[in-house]
Amino acid sequence: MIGQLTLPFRLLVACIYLFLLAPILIVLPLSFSNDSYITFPPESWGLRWYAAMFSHAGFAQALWISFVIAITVTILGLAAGVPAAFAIRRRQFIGREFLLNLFTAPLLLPSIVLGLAILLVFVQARLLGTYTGLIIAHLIITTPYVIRIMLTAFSTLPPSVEDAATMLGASPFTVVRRITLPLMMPGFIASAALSFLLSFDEVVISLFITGPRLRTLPVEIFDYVESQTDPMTAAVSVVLVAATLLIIFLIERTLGLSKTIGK
Amino acid sequence: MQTQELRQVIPAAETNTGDQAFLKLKGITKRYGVDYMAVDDLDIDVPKGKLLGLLGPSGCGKTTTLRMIAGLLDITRSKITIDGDDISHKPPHKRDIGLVFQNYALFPHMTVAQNVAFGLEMRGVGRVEARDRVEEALEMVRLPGYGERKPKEMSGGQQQRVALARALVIRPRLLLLDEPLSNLDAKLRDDMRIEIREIQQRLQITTVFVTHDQVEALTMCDLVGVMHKGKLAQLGTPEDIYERPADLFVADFVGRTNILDGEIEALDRVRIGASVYPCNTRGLTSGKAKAAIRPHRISLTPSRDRSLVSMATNAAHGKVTRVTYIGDVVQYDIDIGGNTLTTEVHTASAGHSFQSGEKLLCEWKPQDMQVFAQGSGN
Repeated sequence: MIGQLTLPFRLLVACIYLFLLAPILIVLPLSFSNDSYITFPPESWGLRWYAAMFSHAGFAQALWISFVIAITVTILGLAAGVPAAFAIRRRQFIGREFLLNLFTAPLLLPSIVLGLAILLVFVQARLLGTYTGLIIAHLIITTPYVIRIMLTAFSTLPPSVEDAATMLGASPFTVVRRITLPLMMPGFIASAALSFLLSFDEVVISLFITGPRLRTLPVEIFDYVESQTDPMTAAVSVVLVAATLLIIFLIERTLGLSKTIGK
Repeated sequence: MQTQELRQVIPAAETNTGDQAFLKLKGITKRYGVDYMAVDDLDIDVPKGKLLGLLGPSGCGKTTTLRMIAGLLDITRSKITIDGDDISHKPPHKRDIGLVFQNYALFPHMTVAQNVAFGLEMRGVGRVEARDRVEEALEMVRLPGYGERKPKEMSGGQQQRVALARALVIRPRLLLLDEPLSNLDAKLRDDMRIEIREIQQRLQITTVFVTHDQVEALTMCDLVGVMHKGKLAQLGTPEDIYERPADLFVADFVGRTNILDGEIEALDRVRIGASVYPCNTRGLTSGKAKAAIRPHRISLTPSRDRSLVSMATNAAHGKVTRVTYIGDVVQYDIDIGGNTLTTEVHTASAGHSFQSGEKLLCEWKPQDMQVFAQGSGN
């Protein structure tokens, strides 16, 4: 298949990659600028802004806050989404379809609409600018993805393997531990990674509900670019891209690994 | 592999008895909702070491019955005993029953050896003994040395044999097979049929086999239970089922059959169209009836005078309306005064081949014409 790609098609693919990677191609050199303001190409080179970033209290604190929130959201999202997907896929009950649609509805709403709605509710509930508020808001974004991915994971579980283990003498707990969980692992990893990244990168809704003392990293960056024009944001962006790539790489390795030992 | 060695791997036949019931199903019932009876009051006894086939169309309750024996499905009402041990309320993982699934259900994240060893591990069998038993079980299904493969690297037939080894290595008291051949192609199915039957007979393991394929049921089983709408329509040897069907459903479902509308005139006399034929009315003396004749029990000769045919034989003049060449047989549809009879003639023995429109004489023995009361078995 790959050997048969025609030249125009290869060019098209190259253009698409260029388009997707263009921001990074600009930001990466820019982050190594030693200038005091953004010019491209930079006039002087150095690690000045990386140093500035790590000593900048606002960014360091925002990074920590974003990390804590993303981890919490990932754990809570899996805790809610996995049993929900299990019930929807495995149990027969009235309102199953309705619940599925309800749980995944936020996927269809533009974030700006969701952000506004959350703002209105959170003002009443006094949740603006709190960890609780941010975590709830991010869960609204991430849980539908977890449910979607886990639904697929449950339905790709080969039929009868759990019954087969039972007939061979495995207790219900052993069946889950030895058969169900290992086969669902790719689904768990995928939804955990996606939850973490969605929460960590989330800007729009966070803008509505962060306060002066509780700002996530994307919000901090957003505010910084509004008031400053130095290349520090480029350095921050490169660090973020690198962190994201690392996570994706780890997933690819573990999922790739589980594919060679599984399926 | 020698039979004696095999017994060591899976000794199933030490305990006593020839024909005494080993597996007893007593009044097995599965009801869904208020009044839908998926399985309705089934009584079956299977002697030790015998293979029972549960045969029926989809939705007849055969798989439901199997799953209730396995314990994977709650029983509404019943008693199941294996060798006198009441297992009706035992959880499935304590029943000590081997089950082979239609889709094999091998564990995709484990090697073949790990799959086969799983049941031994659950029983706390030591590592060394487990390894030996796994290898012997794989030899039994003719897959020696395949232990390190992954299930997905094997063909459907090989996967099914691994599933069989996995079910048998735990030396279960009972083996259940749920349509084990239906995902295989025709040639492989024939081989596996023979192989499963051989292993079952060598191990003398009591087995229940669910199938919708009458050839499988007739060729493999010691006993066949034909199921229809949740009820046991007939239980008997393959010969009983084929030669002496208990009702119209069994006659129609097992093997190909001509079914003709008629009326019983007297004991063993049925009127079809304008003619009255000697037949087997099974004790009935009157009423509307359906007569069943197997296509290959009708012999065809060029048309001649009825008086030349023995009075002990039924005969009807007819005209060929359709000729279908199938390979091993030629099928002739013959119009005998308003009714159509489908007949089969083996191509090897066909001294004369008939043309469409040709007139001929159909003959069959009275005992090959089974007559059932209208509506029996429906």
